Amino acid sequence: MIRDLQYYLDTFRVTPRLLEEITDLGMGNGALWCDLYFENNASFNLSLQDSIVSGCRITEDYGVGIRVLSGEKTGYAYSESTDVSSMKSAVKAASAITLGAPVKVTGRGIASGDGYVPRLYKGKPNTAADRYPVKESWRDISMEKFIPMMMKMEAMVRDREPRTAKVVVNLTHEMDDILMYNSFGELKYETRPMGTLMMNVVFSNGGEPYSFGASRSFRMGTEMFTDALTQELVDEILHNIDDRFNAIRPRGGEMNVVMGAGASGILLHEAMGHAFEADFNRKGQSIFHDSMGKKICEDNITIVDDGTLPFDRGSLNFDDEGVPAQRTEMVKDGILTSYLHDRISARHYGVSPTGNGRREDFRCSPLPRMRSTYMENGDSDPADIIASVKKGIYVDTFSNGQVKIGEGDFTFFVNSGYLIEDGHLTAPIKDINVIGNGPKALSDIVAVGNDARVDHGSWTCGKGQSVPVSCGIPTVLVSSLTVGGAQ
Amino acid sequence: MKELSKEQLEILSRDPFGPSPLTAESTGIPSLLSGEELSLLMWVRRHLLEMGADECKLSLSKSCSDNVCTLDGEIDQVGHSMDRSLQIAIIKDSKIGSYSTNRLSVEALEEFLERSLESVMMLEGEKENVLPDIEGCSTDAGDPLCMGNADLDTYKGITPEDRIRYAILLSQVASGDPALMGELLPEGFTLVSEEAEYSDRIIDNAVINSRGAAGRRIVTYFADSVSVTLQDPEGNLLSGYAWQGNTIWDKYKAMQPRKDFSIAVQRALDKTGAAPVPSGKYTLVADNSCSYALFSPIINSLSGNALQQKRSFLCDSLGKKVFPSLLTVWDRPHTQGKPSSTPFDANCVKTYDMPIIENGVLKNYYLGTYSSLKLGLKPTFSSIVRNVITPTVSTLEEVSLPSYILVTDFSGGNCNPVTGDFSYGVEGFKVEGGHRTPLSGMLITGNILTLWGNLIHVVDDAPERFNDSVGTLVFEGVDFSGLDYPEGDGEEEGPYVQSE
Repeated sequence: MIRDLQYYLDTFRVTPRLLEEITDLGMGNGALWCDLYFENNASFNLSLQDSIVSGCRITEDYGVGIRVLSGEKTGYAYSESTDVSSMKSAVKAASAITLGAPVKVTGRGIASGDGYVPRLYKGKPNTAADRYPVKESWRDISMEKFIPMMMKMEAMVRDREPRTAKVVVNLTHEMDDILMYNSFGELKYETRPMGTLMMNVVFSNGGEPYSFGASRSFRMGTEMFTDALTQELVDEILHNIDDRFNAIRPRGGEMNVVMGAGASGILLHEAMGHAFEADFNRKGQSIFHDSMGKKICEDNITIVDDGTLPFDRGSLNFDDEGVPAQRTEMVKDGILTSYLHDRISARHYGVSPTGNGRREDFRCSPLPRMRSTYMENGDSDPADIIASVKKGIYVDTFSNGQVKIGEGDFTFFVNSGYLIEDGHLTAPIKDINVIGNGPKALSDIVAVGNDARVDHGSWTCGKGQSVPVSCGIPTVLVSSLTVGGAQ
Repeated sequence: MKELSKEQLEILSRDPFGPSPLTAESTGIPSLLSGEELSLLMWVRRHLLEMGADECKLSLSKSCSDNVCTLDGEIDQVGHSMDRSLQIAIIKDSKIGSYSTNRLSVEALEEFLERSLESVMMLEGEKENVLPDIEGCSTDAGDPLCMGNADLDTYKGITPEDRIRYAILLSQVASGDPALMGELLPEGFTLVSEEAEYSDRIIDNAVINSRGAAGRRIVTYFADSVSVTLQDPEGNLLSGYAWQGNTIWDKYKAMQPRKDFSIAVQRALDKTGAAPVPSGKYTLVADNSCSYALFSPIINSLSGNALQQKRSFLCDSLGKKVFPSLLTVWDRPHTQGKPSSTPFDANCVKTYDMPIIENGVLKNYYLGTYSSLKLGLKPTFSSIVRNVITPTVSTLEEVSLPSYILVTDFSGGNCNPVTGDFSYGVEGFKVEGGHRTPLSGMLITGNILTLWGNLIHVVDDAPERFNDSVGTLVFEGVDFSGLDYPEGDGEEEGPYVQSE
């Protein structure tokens, strides 16, 4: 959502002249770069539990982050006030990075003497190209409007499933006004919407209880809530519920793992995506730091990090450094073709930034981060992939994952799935961790389905800072991963 | 505007912060709350009541943090931040809403409070939405240093140049003994990167409510970390990390932060050649650097909200012996050197030493007012402050363990809060007859209550740097998944088994 410039100038009580003055101050001690990141975030949460909507939370967060760069060194400070004296005090603190040793210029500089890539498109933000236009702003309505919808969702679950014990529904929305200015004179502004609907249900059949959650999250206004969306969420919660009560743990060990389409994109996020973030690579810390241009997996694999999907949770019009978001092919036909760059790493490698400079909020300095990370379609029929496995597991819902960048060891936690025995899905499984090594897992992908899709759950990536992301994948077969289980 | 009762007016007339409070002005430390900010807090309370709120609770926090990071011996990042946040709970007609803002001008607050009060009215009320009884609450906010966790003199004296110096001193590349590198790194190993960080922070938090409860605490914290990436002769990358931290400068320095580099390098070297070992049941020794990860699912299951929403595997367990007799856990919230120590909880309820598990019997849940009324149980305090597990042996050497897996770090995984079923990635060593074989890429899987039922020792070696006090833990018969069984082994049971 992009409003006119004056709205943002008024919100932050600044003028173009003042923006210039503050950045000039940041550049005063010989810095090579200074940028300002203004943010006015308003979020609202409404929660249903014990069959009533009884909780709400409103949060306001306002301030400006100021970054001063000296080569690849960062000085960062922020202020929760945008009055002139507060901003001057913050820029002074950030400028401390320019004190001391002279700048070691390591960048090869593709566009300017200092190596930072300047404006990538001229002029003001283009509303016609907005990836998340809002029909009805969260700010223009009362949240009371959604209480019946939340009550109805609970009723739908209880009507269909008598074993329902507890239902929690959470609706959260956010409108995030952003204004950015940098020492090249680039001025970017927009409002980032986000709506999230989450449902978590505890079922009980008199024996061991079972809980299951599902969510949907989009960069949209209130129009995201449709009957179809709430139905989809309830259907997902109740999908194969009898199987879930009967789920077992597989016997642990190495085995074939078929990862179902969609949410299994967590494999790409943990096993490869983080290791492709250029900050780890420029420091030599990533297991892929010397793999650029090399073949790292089968020819039929292309892995993308995309900030351009309309209304996607991970999408951006431009990143938090003002660089236009783009679709970045990290792996093309099995070859590692690009890391994910912010301006600092792009300067280091002498390439254009890829629009991956992201931050949690104005308190944080941007880092290379993923957006929507997915694998493109292969040519296998998903049913054939399952049929090809003699002994293994099929997994399709997950809760969390983690990676050790240097060693490349990753894990993800499987909420549910099935055993595969002689090519057929058999007993349901639950609550197991899966562990592997990134490069090996990538090279062990031996079949790629033709059913790629991006999952629209409320995925959040942590790397010291939390940012919204999404992930996707077609059905794939990994020939060997280690699966947790009883012995 | 609503006319206030005589009782409310009497409460509002009191100044809980005392006649000469510690402030930014009186100390010369701008990151402490100022007299104006403390007055603003009391103005918000009055304003909300006059606008029609039945009750309210307010928490104003101000914090300042500074950090300096080095990369390969050179200053890489300098950061400075100052935050203020006002958290508000408003109760009206038994309805409750929660609010947070960092826009603290009177003009912005008036608009925010009006919007907040309006939003409460859309909710359903519940009779359990009340403030805690004043008898159990702190009412004196006059001594914010009472926990002894604020080293104001040292904090005030630290300059930006000092921080840079401290960070440089942490860096072996920048200022270490050149001979040390040769001593630490075996032949063929190289240092790929070294990152060091020095940081300090100060937090000032004041809480008041409309029943006259009040509390204030100030905490300082000094910390550092060093992380290294090494490359072994085969080109494999190995990473290691070490950190120290304390609320008191002298205690922090006594932790010898300059040794972090050596510790981080050793942790990286420990991973050389790490690989999975055969799956099976092993004795698990959870090293004190990571053992708390196995205790945290229990703490999560003791929270009032989890219990009330049936998202706990410890529902209806109060007073029951659900753990082995050797397990005793207390919450000790008044400990010097620990940043979470506090005389009052988030609702201003006084904290106290509280038994959580005694000789295996579950003695207390963490229950705020709402949860306690919903569950019909006596309130305690609303969340964990500092858990201490009573040791059963002085050292691991006291225990005769011929063979075990020493877990030095967990990687990913989860514990189902409803059932307690868990599965975690692990790394560490297989130890047999004193010989250590590094392992990685393995998983432990089971049920958390079953795991704790197999606890056999708690070692008295909890690291000082952690907030909680949990030493090395020893469990019998834990399922490890790694390398597949040799052909034929276990086949009689079939490929898959039912979980417990």
